[in-house]
Amino acid sequence: MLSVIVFSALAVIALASGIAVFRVDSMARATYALAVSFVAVGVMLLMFDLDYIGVITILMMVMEMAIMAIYMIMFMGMNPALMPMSMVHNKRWSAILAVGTFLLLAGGALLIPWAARTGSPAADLTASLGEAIMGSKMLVMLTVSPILFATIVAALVLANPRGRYDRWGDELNRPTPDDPQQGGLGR
Amino acid sequence: MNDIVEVNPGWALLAPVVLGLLALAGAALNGILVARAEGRSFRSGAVIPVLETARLMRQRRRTTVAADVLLWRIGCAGLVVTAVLKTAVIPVGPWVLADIPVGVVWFNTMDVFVWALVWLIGWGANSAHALVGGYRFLAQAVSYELPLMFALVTPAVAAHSLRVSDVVAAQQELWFIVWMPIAFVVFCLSVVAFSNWGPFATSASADIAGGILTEVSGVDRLLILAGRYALLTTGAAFAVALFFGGGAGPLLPGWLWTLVKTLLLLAAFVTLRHRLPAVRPERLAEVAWIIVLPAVLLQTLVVSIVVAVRG
Amino acid sequence: MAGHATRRVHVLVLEVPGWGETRMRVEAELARRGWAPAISPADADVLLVCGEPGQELESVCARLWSQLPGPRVRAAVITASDVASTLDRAVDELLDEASQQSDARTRSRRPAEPRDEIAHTEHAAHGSSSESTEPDMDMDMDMDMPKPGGIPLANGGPDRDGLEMDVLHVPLGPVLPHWPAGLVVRCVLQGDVIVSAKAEILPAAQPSGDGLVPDDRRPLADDERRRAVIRRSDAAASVLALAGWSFAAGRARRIRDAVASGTALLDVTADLDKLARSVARSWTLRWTLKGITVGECLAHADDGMGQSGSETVRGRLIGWLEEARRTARDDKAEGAYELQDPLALQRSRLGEIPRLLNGTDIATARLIIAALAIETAPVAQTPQSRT
Repeated sequence: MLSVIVFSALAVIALASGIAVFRVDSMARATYALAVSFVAVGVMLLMFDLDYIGVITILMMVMEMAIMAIYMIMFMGMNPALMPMSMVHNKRWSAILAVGTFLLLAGGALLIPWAARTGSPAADLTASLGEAIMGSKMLVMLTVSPILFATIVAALVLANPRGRYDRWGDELNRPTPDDPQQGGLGR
Repeated sequence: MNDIVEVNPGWALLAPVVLGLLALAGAALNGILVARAEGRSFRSGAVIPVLETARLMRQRRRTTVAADVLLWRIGCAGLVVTAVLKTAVIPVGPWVLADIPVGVVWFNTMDVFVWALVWLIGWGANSAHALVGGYRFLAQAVSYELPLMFALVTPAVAAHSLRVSDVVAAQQELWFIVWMPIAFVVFCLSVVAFSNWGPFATSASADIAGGILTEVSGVDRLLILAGRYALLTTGAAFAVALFFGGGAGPLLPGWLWTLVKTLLLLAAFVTLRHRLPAVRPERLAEVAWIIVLPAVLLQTLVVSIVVAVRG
Repeated sequence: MAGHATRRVHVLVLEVPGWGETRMRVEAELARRGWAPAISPADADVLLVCGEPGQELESVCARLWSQLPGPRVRAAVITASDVASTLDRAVDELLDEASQQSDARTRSRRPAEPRDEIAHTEHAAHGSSSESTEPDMDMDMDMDMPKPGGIPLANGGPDRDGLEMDVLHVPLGPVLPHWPAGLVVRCVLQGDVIVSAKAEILPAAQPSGDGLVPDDRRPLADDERRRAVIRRSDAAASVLALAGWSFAAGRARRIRDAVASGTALLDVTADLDKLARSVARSWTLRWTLKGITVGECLAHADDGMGQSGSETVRGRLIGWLEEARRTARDDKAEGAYELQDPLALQRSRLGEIPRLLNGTDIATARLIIAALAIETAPVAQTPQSRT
């Protein structure tokens, strides 16, 4: 009974803060309302005894929102701390899409005849999760991670306007690089 | 040493009290160091935290023009809350409040909250200095977080578990500090960094008029300062569980050993404060990514190989 | 409770140019009592004005006063000998519940909205209510823009990485920790990077008799040698504090206070030696200050502070400590060569600030300004220097 109440409360929090993302008029509040929503979802996952996924959801989302706040503010053309602004664009289509997606997922969750559980969960869910991801799928992981890493590096190289010739001179022979801000290693 | 057992959740009420006392001890030590450096008596330094608490309780809170008061107050109060939530997975001798299977990740999650909270303190005040402070912390966090994660992972790899009690149990023969010195040092420095302390306190430093502290007064300021000490304390206590065998030790009972080790480590953190020049985020970044991260990865690799060879 | 609450009072010091010695006495007295210097108005119980502020500093003072959270006390001190009694009176006033309560009642709970003329003249000292985000051009066009909280919005501008970024107009000073008295550097910031800066000094109402800079090179009397050691250790303490090394800064301040209180110069040489050695040896300090320079002009300027031809911040710091050691030992009579033409030197320093600060972040800028060790006092003696 208690767990039903807590779960419903968390669901309400997740939904309400999700709605708040579009109702508040400040970048920072929208970002952290989204974080609250995700934290509530993470705690709900914890209630399913999915410890690792729940905790890691909270960790990733809070960190992501902290970083996102920087980017959102960095790319805004004005001082968004002070400027009340609308958080929605293209209202009609996004509303249609959002409601449609919600109905589809909620209808699916309610209408699908879920199978009854056979067997019992593993004693250590974290370990079995790890084996499920890493065991038989190791080859996929080994392929995906270098590609992801290479993508990140390539994107950075493309985005960075300053190459090593800008830093070290045309002959690459400056004793110290010419940087707008000196780093800690002098390289 | 006996296995670690979960205690009645009622004890959770005691956890903030113990945390508060330990943090107060840390603050008193800091006061003593300041007083000795200024040529005053030992005693006058030890009472500084009490006097400061009384002073801040008497002071009025401030607001600023166009402040985002809600987010600001959340940030101010949040640090203490995060530290208290951390205590849930920290074993004291044979007892722990919640021996969850992912205790190590829980600790990590709580210190990621500090990212958000410090930035909110800086943001909420709508003040240039405070905002610079908030951003400085994020810039620093980007440098310390990955090394911290690998430093946390290393003991977990050796213990085959993310459960803190398993990590403690795995150290029955040999404390992890002995064969994971790099992970230990990186963990300690990260604790100092996320507690916004000492050489890593650039987000609250004098060159930006106190940074995140520029505009806060009264009980808000008290909560931030207390939160910093509380984070430092929980960091020390967690290091004891991860690297110093938890409550293991001769003669004394386990809980006392945990407290003694925690206090010693906390004293080391506090002493570090005034000894070193500030490590500015833009200087830290290169060092953290080019030297520290590979070093701690190497540490994890060595530990993994040892664990794999031993089976 | 109130008794405990007033045993560690935080004092915000507003130093008027020319009252450096009074400020140092205040700092020494605070350390002796176990009080603390406040780092911002929000941190302060007492606003202590050292000296006689001119009109502009007076308005800064009023603004700071409005930012103290309360209970609060405002006090002024003109001569160094009055410091202790002024602080005693301040703590009595802090404890006076009736007057504090009436002060609290008469204040508005809400912060003062920045009025337009203040936002434009930017006589701001600290923080938000003084932070003015006025656009630097197109004022007429922006008049219709909404101004939340009475603060106009920031405009964008190209930044050093080729992106467009908000520009924010933030004055640094005149009241910041470890900051030259009366100096205001009006900065245009992108993030915490200074895109352009303008420096000026807010003068005192009248010249002080306090800390006048001697202007000739005759062999030094004991008093002048003292003053030379005090000036150098005070400047060194500022740089060390801004570099975040508070223990070393504290040691420099203790040496300064010892000399100021009459300890024989030879008795502080041991401490000075120790400090100079640990500063010169610290590789962490070397690392944190690496590459931060104060420009070439100073290496040649015969200014008495920085004879060793050093142009990095660290070099200046080590140079001062060396000079202080030599002066304290009286190895060379010309150890304390003071300014020949303080006004011209001061002008050249102020003129250098925009160039030196351009493209630096605030932390570096603070170190550079501390390493310039601008003597702001002489301006008060020659009012025509104001622009």
